Amino acid sequence: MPTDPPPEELRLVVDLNRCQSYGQCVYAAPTVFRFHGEEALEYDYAPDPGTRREVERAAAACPVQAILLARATEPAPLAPERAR
Amino acid sequence: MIGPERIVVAGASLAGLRAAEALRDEGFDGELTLIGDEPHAPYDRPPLSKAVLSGWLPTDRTVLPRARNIDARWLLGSPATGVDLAARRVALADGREVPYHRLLIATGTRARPWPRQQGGDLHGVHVLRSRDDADRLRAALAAGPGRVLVIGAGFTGGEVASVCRDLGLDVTVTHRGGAPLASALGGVIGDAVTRWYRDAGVDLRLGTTVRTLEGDAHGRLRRAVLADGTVVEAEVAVVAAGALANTEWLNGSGLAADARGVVCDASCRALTVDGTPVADVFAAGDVARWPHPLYPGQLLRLDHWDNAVAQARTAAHNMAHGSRAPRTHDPLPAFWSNQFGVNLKCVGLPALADQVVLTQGSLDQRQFVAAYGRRGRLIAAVAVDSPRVLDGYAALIEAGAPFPPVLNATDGPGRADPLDPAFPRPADPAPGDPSMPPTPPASSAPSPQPDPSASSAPSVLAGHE
Ligand SMILES: Cc1cc2nc3c(=O)[nH]c(=O)nc-3n(C[C@H](O)[C@H](O)[C@H](O)COP(=O)(O)OP(=O)(O)OC[C@H]3O[C@@H](n4cnc5c(N)ncnc54)[C@H](O)[C@@H]3O)c2cc1C
Ligand code: SF4
Repeated sequence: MPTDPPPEELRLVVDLNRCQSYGQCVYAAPTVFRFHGEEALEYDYAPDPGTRREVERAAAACPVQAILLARATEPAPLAPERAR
Repeated sequence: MIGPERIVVAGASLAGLRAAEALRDEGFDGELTLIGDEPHAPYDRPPLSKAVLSGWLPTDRTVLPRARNIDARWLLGSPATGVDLAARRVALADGREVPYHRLLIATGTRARPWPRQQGGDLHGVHVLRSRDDADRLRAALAAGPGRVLVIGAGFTGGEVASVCRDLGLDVTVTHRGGAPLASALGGVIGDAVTRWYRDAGVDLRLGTTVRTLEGDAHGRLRRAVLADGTVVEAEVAVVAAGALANTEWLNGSGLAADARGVVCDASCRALTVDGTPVADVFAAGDVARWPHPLYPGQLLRLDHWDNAVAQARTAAHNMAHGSRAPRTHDPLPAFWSNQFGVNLKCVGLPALADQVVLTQGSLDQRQFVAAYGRRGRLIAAVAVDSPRVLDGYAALIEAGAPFPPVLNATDGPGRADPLDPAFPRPADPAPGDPSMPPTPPASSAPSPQPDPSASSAPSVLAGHE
């Protein structure tokens, strides 16, 4: 399979049902992931593209594979002007 | 592959997007169209009441990642207004018609609005469901109102109240029941949650309702009059009193759909009013009500993230492969909430329990696990600031383990002491109270009258409200 060029935008979501608050992602990408209180993970869905390496490391380090990174290379869907 | 050539997904949010991706994963290579009434690309709702309101995350950074290319036609900002089952066409508000071979209904729910005649039109009265709602409410909170009134102490109400306290705002929360979250988790756990509210400095008014919201000469909210006659001065009110399914567009279609949801079968096929499954129309996510094999004799609607993702995948599988190998949607319900500095996670359906027992920690600590039983079987568990133990409970529930469970947890109480979980008894609705069982709002078109066979089964709504 040909490998697509990585998309410009960095997008991610964490399955917080699966997340067990191990905090590996917070160590790997501290500007993207953080804890609110002891166990509540918060994160930026669209971090700065400059954090890509850190975010990929975070996703790989998550022991329960709760972090999903976008793989789509298509342009983001837009509403037509008149719809707004 | 042999299969449908055109699939239309109505509702371009979590369930709609994940279904579209799963359709392509399943090998569907025909024409795919996503219809969404919001002008935004699919975004995630859980952070709206948490990281967004607190000011940490702007709403344009809650957009959901797209896990793969789906090569779809996106019709955003175009509400679906009707469906013709015989002609297999969806009508849009702008007059367009979109033909389909298979249709997925994923239009979710909306927040139950506050009645207009009781002050719902006043400036300062908010609900929280969409990105636009969150932007408006965030701006209102950032302006530093003197007091915020939150109507309803369910999950969303608790999350909003908690963020307000983090922001240093004075908050009053009214709740019809005897404890926050009592209808979802019972009064035993609800009493512990009551302490979280009070320790955080929330002015919590239990066992009462808001009678009217009142404004000044400029139509701005100024105060609320409660059922007991007391007055709460507030410039911002957040109505967090339940959800209504977005099914008006299905009125007259012949589908069994009302404010409680679209009735479907266990393989996600929508039912007509006489209870017959429609072979080419499916439903998934917050809008769907279906018979769950684990909870016989009732129709379940789970307004939770996990269910939207799982049901979207099951529906997509069945849509791509027709009835050759239908999959059943029978996940163990699961959700989380973050409020008052704690992380709360739940598996199973506590609301059906007849007993509850504390298995780890203590209710006074903000770290504990409670297990719920029904007729001697473990059916649910709630973990507070203990996210790592829940998989074990989920496995026991799925294995049909006895209740009280034998866990030998090192931090368990010496003796298991099952209690009545204290779920509230159904009460008579107060006139005009918006937190009672769903009836369509007066302003909407009349609902179809579904045949009893399809939708009069008892309902369990487990909502993130
Ligand atoms: C503030 C908030 C916090 C939450 N927090 C949590 C949490 O912590 N944990 C948890 O498990 N769950 C949480 N949830 C619930 C979770 O967000 C929902 O379960 C999930 O969004 C359901 O996805 P869905 O796609 O089924 O429905 P929705 O997200 O409701 O999407 C339906 C989409 O269809 C659109 N639509 C409606 N009618 C039409 C029409 N006629 N034509 C076209 N489009 C239409 C809607 O505008 C919407 O965009 C939260 C929800 C909210 C609102
Ligand atoms: S590494 Fe994974 S499990 Fe740990 S906090 Fe991050 S997302 Fe959660």
